[in-house]
Amino acid sequence: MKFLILFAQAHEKFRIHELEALAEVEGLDVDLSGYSDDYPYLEVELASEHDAKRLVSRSFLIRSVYRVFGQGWSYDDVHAQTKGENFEFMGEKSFRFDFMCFQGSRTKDQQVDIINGFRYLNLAGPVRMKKPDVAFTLIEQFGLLEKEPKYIWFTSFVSDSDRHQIDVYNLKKRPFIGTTSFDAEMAFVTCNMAKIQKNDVVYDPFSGTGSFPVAAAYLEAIVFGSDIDIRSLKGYDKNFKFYNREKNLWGVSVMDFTHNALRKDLVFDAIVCDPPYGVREIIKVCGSKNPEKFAGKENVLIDNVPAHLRPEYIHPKRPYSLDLLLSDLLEFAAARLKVKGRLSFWMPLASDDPLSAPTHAKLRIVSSIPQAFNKWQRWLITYEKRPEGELGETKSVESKQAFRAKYFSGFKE
Amino acid sequence: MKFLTTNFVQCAVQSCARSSDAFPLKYSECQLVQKEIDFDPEFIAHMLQKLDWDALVEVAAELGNSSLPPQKPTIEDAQAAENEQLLRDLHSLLLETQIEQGVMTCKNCGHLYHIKNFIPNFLLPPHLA
Repeated sequence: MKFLILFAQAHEKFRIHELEALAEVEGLDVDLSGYSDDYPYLEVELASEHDAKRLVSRSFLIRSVYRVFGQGWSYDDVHAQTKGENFEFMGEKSFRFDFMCFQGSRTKDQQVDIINGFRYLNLAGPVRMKKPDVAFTLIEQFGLLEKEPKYIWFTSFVSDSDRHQIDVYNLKKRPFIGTTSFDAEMAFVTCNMAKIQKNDVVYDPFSGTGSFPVAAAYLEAIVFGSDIDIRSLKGYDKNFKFYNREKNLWGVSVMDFTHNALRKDLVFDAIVCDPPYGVREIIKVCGSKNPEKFAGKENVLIDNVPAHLRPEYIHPKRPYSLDLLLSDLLEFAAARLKVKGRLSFWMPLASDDPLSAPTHAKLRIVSSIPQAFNKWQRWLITYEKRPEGELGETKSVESKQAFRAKYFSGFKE
Repeated sequence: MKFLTTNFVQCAVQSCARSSDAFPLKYSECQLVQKEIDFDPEFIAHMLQKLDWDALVEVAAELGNSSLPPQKPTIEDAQAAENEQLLRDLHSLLLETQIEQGVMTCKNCGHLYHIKNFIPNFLLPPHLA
């Protein structure tokens, strides 16, 4: 069967990667080679409407999917093809006709004329405007300022995607957010790139206010979050309660990622995060900038209790570099992900700088996709853990150190 | 911090990473609070697979609950009536029982960590980092 996928007109570079990941999650072998960033349409062959629904229902960058009966440059083409299709499946089913016109519109009279053109379908069932069994949909693409459509598909509606959840999870409606909260749409896309599924164990080591854990919990994963800054963790429970996903949050703690306290035999299905870049939040780990100053401090007693063991003790932190942090992240992912488990994270770069993503022998880079802002862009990089015994090369990079400096100098040379 | 979290955290000190004594931590001076969370038997049954049961029994006993069976129960049908009480008990213990304040001590190196306002803090002082 032929289906037409209708994409959202947003984040064009991400759309096909998300769809590829979803096809793999659902185990559907589907040819996506017809895709182009320039069009919101993609025609695919699938075995059944059920498969089409599985393919798109979890997507956040697709709008919906339709089953195609006829298509062409004119209604003559459409009718010629439609007449060759078998509509016995309709039986006594109720139906209605919808129009979706892009860059054009139809008057009511025109719509009625077009619908009457399908009289030969001999539909026996009743017309029902509310919740019909089948919603036939005429999708018409007009050229700019043209009266007649350039291209037409005669279809029936199969399924919407999960895109409406972006509105439900909009940060503006969330009870607890911070300066580093990540927008819901891209957080969801990140989770899809990491192939997060129900009951997966997911970790965000730089969780901040929990944007990624909240998105992963929506997908019914089990989530762990940690951050070195306690302030951002304080409203965690509020968000999970708000979305009624309290049971999916299995642990949240103040932690220095480089001194991790999650038990060593806990295997993760996915790791998703937006590491600190040093712009909105500083990159720090536990320790002191000036070790001599702290020499012997572990022996300081207050009320006979070592000062560093008292509840009000404030742990000194020292600056760390993004390069080192990313290489620690890859090392951690290589050690703790299950085979074929995925790590997806975001990395910023000045727009002119070429991407050189760090690599790890045990991780294969699946994709790196840029989201452009004015003078900089952030890249969503996805890695997959290789099977045991398969090794690639390891390459750490030293360049992002400059990102902070470039950002604050306005990206001038 | 949910009681469940105790089953997933260990000492953060580098030299304890390979020690079997670094997990589970020892819990003391804990203030427990019950918070209501929706009960989902399937979810709890699935949760069982991820748990280190021995550690769970040990920590539960430290916090005054010694009613857990010594062996991890096997749940084949989460909807079956005979399993409901066990799953409800686990739900109540693992998800609804939360630690507002307390101290976690590593049984290997003796370092202690605090739980404040339901959030455990695993940051390390400079001489251990």
